[in-house]
Amino acid sequence: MRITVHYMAQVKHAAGRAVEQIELDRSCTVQELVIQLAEGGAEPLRRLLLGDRGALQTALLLFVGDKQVSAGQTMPLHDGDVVTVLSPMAGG
Amino acid sequence: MEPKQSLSDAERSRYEWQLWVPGFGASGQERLKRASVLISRCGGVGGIVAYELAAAGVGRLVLAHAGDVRLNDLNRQLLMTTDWIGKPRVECAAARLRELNPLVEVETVAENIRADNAERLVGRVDLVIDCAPIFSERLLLNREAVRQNKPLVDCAMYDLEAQLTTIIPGKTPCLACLYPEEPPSWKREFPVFGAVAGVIGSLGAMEAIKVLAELGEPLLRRMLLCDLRDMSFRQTHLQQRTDCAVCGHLGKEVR
Repeated sequence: MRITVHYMAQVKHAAGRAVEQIELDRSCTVQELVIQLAEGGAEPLRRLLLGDRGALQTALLLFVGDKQVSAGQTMPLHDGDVVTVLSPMAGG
Repeated sequence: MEPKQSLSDAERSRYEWQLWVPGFGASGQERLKRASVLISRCGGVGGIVAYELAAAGVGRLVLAHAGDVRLNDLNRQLLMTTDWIGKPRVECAAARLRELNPLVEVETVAENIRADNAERLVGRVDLVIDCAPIFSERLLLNREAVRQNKPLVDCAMYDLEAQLTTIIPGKTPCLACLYPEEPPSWKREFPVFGAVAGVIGSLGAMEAIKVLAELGEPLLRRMLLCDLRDMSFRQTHLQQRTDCAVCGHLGKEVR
């Protein structure tokens, strides 16, 4: 199953890329995918995606296609899905 | 019934080009003239919001921003000028706005949004625009706007990216639905171009005009995401949190 992941804002810097293709050998939720990306990534990315106890940071916005998936929602990913991981932005 | 407040010849002339906009006209202009807007920080984003709203003829603008103009403000804070370095930002911004449109009332508050002024500042206006770089301020403003049932336009940016959404308490997710707590990784100073601030500031001003003048379709329950590196603009659909500590007790429209 192939998933396209778009990174935005600070997570784009930390991931070192704007987009990547991920091959999954089994279905998972978008939250499980992001935890997997964090655990496989370098420390700056891991710190942006995960809190102290290994759970996802509450301020991350996750989208599958154009729909936000909130923290309590469990949405299984499907082949060809496009996931966006957006860390906070502000004014200035 | 809304009080009748006809436009003067000077106003009809100043706003002539926007009076031609279908669905706006004199009634839309009169709505803007009667309206008041709080802009939380008038820096890179908020300065452009304020400039556009002053140009459009919003009757009263309340600018809240502490501190003095610094040299490293000037890549993006276009209401500030080099000769004002070391002097209050909010007064510099107000002077520029009054030069542009003396018909608009500009109130200056040399404070950022805080727990002890949020209620008073939000209570003085019809709509608030969040342009602050610090999440404690942003979340305070959101909490107070929801409590007072005031629309809030939320503008944000980072690097060459920006995002925008319009919050109507009870009808849309609020900022705390998206960010239930202050993001620990966020830093007040971050990479950005003034042109990015200008893009999202102009779009935020347009959202405010639409809400105040009942024009078009504001970005309700949607977030605009812009990446100016490749000029991609897309809309996403937002989720209200039923357990939101700020707005979870309101309306059922989006659940």
